[in-house]
Amino acid sequence: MTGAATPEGELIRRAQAGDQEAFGQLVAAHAERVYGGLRRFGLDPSEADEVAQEVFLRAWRGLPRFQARARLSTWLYRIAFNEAQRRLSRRPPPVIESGSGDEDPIAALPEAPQFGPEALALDREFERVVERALAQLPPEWRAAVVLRDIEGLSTEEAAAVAGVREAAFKSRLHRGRMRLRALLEPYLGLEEGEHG
Amino acid sequence: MSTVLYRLRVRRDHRWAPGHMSAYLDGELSEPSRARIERHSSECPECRWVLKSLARTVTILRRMPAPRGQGDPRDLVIAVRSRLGERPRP
Repeated sequence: MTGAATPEGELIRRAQAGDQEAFGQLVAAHAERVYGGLRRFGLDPSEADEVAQEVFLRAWRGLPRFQARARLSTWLYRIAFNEAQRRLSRRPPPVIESGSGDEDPIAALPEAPQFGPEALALDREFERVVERALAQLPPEWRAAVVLRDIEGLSTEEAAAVAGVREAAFKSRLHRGRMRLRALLEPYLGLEEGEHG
Repeated sequence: MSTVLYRLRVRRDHRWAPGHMSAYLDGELSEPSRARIERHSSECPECRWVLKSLARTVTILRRMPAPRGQGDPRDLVIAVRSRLGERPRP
């Protein structure tokens, strides 16, 4: 929501004036989406809990500079994206367990189930397959897919959150989607007869 | 169109199409480019498969539910409010 005439706009105005109660209401309203974004950007649950606090603390300090015409949710995503990248950059490089270095990422995923895409989208096991495939993308590609396809931001909003021009964002999005397509291909429920 | 010219055109489209499929699905291509993707997909089984599986991948992503595991948002509100007076982290 935007603008001072909306309830959220009023809360923002009050919070900008130092009203901690109003800010608390904004935190409650956006907590779930911020947490979800942090998890999708690649943080584990405990990291996401911790970083979500940092996101809202930075938002509190930055509120005086927040422009009321912007969407608060997009602005919070931008902070969450930056905080997640900061946290991810501090992680040690992933350890390859088997040491061979040439594992097929598909082999790390569970067996493809035998039902169609509608059922797949609701199945917890399949959710884990998608999450593991997402985790195999480079962070910038994963963030593009998360912002555009999972969180449902427009290309313009998502590019602003990622801090890149739209053309660069579209390139990351395309690469991320194509990589995911390849990883998920055995699970998509498309019949052999549909090939060609 | 001669067979040679047809094959050249299909080969050119085959190189061009995969890089534009994502924009096609988002409705961000110009009308001539959209028509080019659709014509090539009708001619090329490989690209038709890639486009179809890419579309399904995007559909699945859009159905993904919010991650589980978050605690009560009220706990976050309490934690954040207790820290509002902290100095910014360097």
